[in-house]
Amino acid sequence: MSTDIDGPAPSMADDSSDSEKEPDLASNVAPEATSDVAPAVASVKMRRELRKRAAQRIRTAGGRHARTDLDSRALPNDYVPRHALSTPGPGSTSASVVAELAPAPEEHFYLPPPEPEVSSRKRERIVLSERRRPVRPVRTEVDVRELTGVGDMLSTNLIRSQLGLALRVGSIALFTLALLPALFAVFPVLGRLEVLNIRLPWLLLGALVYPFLLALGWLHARAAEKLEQSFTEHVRD
Amino acid sequence: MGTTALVTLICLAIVALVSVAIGSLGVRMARTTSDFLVASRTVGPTANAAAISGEYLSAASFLGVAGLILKDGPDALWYPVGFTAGYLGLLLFVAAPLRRSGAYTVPDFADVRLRSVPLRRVCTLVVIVIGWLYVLPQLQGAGLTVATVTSLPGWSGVVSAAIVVIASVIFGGMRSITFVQAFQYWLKLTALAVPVIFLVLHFAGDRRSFDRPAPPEFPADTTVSVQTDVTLEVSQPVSFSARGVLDGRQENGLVRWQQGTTHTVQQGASLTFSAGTSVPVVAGTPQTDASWLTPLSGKREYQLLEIYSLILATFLGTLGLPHVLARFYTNSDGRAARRTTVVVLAMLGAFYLMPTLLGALSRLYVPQLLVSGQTDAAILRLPAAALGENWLATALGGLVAAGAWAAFLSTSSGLVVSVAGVLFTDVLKGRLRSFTLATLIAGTVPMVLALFASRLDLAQTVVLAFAVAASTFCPLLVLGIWWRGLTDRGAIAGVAVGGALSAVSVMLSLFDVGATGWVSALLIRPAAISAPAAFLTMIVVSKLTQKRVISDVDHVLLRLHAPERLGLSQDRLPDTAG
Repeated sequence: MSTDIDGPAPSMADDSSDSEKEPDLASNVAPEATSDVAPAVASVKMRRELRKRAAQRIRTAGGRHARTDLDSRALPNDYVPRHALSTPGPGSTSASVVAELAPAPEEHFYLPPPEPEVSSRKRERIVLSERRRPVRPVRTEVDVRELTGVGDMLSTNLIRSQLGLALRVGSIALFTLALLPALFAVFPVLGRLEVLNIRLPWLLLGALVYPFLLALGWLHARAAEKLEQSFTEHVRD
Repeated sequence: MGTTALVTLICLAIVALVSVAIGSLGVRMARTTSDFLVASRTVGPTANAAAISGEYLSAASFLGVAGLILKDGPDALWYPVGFTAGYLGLLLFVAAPLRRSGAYTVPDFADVRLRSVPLRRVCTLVVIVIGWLYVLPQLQGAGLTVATVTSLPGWSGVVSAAIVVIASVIFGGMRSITFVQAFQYWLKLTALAVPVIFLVLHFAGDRRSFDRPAPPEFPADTTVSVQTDVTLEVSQPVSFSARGVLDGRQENGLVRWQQGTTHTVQQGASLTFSAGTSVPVVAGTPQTDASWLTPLSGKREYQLLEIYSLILATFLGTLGLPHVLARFYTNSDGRAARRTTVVVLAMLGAFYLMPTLLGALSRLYVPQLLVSGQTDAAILRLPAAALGENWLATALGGLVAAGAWAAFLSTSSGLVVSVAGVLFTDVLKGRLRSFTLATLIAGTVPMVLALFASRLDLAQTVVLAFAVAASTFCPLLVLGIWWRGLTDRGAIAGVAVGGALSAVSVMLSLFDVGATGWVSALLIRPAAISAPAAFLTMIVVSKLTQKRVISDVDHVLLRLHAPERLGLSQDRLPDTAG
């Protein structure tokens, strides 16, 4: 979708296969307004928690960067102004250089524009925006980058669920593999059993174990991609 | 030297020349790192997976697995199973986050995650140890191949292989040429699949069966020359003519061994058996064909312990092998890295069916290897032994030898590149022409080791390298990726403990200290102790030094786990576009 009125359509990066479409600009302007049409993949529970936290944050009225709910892990000095966020990732040198150059006060001074209403000033900026200017990140995206509030919770959640998935699949594989020699040792008759004219251990270890490992790998890759997908959706809306 | 030997030597020479030529051509095609990076983005998961499999399937997989199956039966099947299962471990815990970290080697990863120079040095040392340990059996396999198919001495194969590897790396290396490595996979698969087809057809017309309550029999009059000292067990009385030192006495003439006795044969002896004689078998392995067919039938003690330690070493060790990790950088993003690994699982599974079949068939056709103990040569000798001396057997033999040579060249050059790379960046900083020097060092040291270390079975030596990787890089990568509490001190302590435990036991097994019982089982398979010890040390020391957790650890972890689409992670080289 293009929001340019005049001039050619924004050039899309064409070299990398995974280059994304620019995020929906309407949702940029009013993140809250679009949250109801979110894809069904996202879990209801997670969504409810997000809403709760967002509401709480608005109530505490400190703005986006009021770190009332942060523990000591968060750096007081890692604040980077929004416009500097488009390229350098968090923790990259440029971000920390910015932080060093402009030591932030105890309380962050930056207050976001009032949230819910769609200000006409903003819309104007989008219409006239230069083509090359990177799209402003969605608020949750900023949260995730800076690991404040909701972002911190989202990323912890992602890592935990990925680890849980990996451990589950890994223990299925290791348990099954480790069970076989024990079974052969305890019940030697299994080792002499013939299935399809082939001895059972040869059939299991010589052939069937490979499709088993492949299936586990395939299931894991699919599930892990789904987890990432839902993380991305949470961040983007 | 017969025609067979000549044909095979020509095949080996062609493979060697082609790899050096492609290496130098590759330099012209991919001159800069960013060429490599850009090219990497156009490579799909299937080509990438073939490249990873091509570099991974070494002489141990190509020759060693079948040899162990010939000797040990189904217990040896755990080797290929473990070599494959390792990629599941890699997929679950490392593939996508490692790609997202942008690290090319484990020392790079240590830099990204813990920002510690001492840790980087320790990791460099471990890369070198693992690399050399892994190259060692490759060179020994090359020596064995040359000695088996020609009458040349084994050291000439070791030395010529080392020269080819060093030359191909200096003239550009095999790295960054994904399609060459991908081609290697298909070459190796073909080099085994074609003989499998002919041999299985031949076996279908054969009346013999595996299930006999007796040892294998010599299918024809056979002369066995023993090249390393062996101990043989006799379960059926045999008589044969011998020349050499048997049981400490010089024999020259007819010898008769009684049922149930054990005999030693010294290096250099030559034994001639007539057709139909029962085969005396290397001590400790299953004696009769019937017992060979069933699992856990050998006489070695603590077999279960060995099997479990093997599973652990391969499951955890694969994700720390330097030449495997470097290939993952060629994936375009974390998701592609995962998909690639799934395809690798399929490709390895398809490949390992071949050595399994060939290993079982060699029990029927090349039982004489059980006398000399050189079971690694099984696949090389199989075509001629089964099909007789004709042009088909010669062609198949040449194909198999070329495949083995390719297997060993691709793996070794990948490893020598990795080792030379860390030597160059971290050890020999800034000397003139030092990449050439680094390559020379990286290739020469394992060559010297290969000439002097005692020769275990190829697959067993390779598993030693897996054990070191499982006890050092595996805990570092897994904890680094999944646990925010890891500190540099903890990582160094864990790598040191795991590395020392595994490396010492590896050295003791390589230079054959006479240990017995469970000690010997653990010396040759140290992972069951050393990997948990490394994990534990890393966790405990990190807990004690919690203050040293890097300040932006959450950002770093997020970068490793968040999808690239969000733009949180950066490649080493920024995109030029935009």
